[in-house]
Amino acid sequence: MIRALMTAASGMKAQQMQVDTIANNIANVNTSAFKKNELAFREMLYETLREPGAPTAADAMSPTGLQVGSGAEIASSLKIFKQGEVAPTGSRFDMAIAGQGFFRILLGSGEFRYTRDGAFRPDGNGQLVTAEGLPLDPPVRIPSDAIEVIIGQDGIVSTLKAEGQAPEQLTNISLFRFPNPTGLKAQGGNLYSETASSGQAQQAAPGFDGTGSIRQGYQERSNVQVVDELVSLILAQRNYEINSRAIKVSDEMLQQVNNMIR
Amino acid sequence: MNQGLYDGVAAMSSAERRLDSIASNLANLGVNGFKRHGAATRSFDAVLRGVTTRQVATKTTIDFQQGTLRPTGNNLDLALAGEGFFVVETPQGEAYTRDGQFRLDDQGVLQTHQGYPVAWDGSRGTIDAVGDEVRVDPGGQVWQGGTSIGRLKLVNFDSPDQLRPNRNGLLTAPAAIDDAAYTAEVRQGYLESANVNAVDEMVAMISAQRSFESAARMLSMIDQTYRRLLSSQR
Repeated sequence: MIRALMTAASGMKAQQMQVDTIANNIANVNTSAFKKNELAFREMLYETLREPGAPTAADAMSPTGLQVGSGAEIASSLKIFKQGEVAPTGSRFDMAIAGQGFFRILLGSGEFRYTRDGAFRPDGNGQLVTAEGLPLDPPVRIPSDAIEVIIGQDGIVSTLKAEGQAPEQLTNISLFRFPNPTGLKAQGGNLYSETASSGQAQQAAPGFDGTGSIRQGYQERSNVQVVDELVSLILAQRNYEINSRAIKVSDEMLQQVNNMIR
Repeated sequence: MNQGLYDGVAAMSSAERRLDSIASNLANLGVNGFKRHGAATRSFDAVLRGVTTRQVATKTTIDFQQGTLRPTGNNLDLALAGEGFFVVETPQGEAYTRDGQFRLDDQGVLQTHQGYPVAWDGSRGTIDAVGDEVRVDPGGQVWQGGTSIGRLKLVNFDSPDQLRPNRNGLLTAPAAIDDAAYTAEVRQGYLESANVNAVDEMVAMISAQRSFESAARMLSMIDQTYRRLLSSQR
């Protein structure tokens, strides 16, 4: 019965983690380019009290054994990199990626981070930076005399210096793709870093190698579906509840043992 | 009267075993592809030194009934509809699972969330991780951009009862097991939920609790009888 107590407690812990994950998804329903998290559960160790196929007599064996599981645990968390809805924002420096690619961001330390949040703004020098002021890499500098900036689907940035003139090609924005994006490490602030499991970032021009095209003036919304999250939340709550019932029953049975001899 | 005491203890411990396996089923409600373990208690007559006594024993069987398929929309989530198993290559040899929550590693190898590669029919197919979308047809054939990469290995067994779970929640088979034809179809973008029915488990839990209770009651009555017997001698 102590085993049943522990087993049910492991179920409650797993469901609690599930609620934590769902709460984080729901909290980020308005975060641009947020990718929802999912948990993968797995069974814990089984205790074999009697081997299946153990001999019961000289010429007989038991067709089934006695194996009791010891609960559930979290195997891993998964980021679901499904495309979020792409919505117009009206800001000409906003970029959304329709595809699998990432923008690369340069940190002050010289390290790289990757993001799908394309809400860039020019800083004092005209360089495109994220909301935290981290520059896009390879860098894009918008000249101060530009009256219009055009970012093509293929990542080519052109500027218009004066009305009626031909646009001048400035630079290219590159996108990056990973063999296994679920293996990226989420760093908070919509940034991801490369890991051994994600594989090396592969640079490509937008629209090539499945990176996807860039949409100027659009932002990718979070890919969290509130209805799905609510259904999962209800399920997690009920599963939590029923595991707590199992604890209560084991407790009552233990109490029975204590009261047996008076 | 002594025998009654032992019978009571046997009944209590078998109720306890049943509760353990119910608690394990309930804890695994959220595990994809989980198959519930049913505990059965039976009584049998044991002949010991010429005296026949009634004994009880508990055994567990894995209930391989189909779980509900739940759409997830993820490309590498595969569910099996029908009888059969995915094959997983572990360092200890082949293992089997119905949990099709797969992913790609950086080399394009399809693997389980425990990190073991999924077995293919014949040579292992390599998925171009940065290539086109992967499609899996009901027969387990994997396609990418219109070309076939290979087929996932599916198996079934004559007596799946003999499969036993290992430490990673995967199933392993004894050497002597016979293969059987699988009827399972692969459904891409779905996961199979645990086949645990909360109501059934609740009912079973109540029944285990009550049978434990009545056995405990029987024990205390025997205890009282002994007590009366002892006090009558004074």
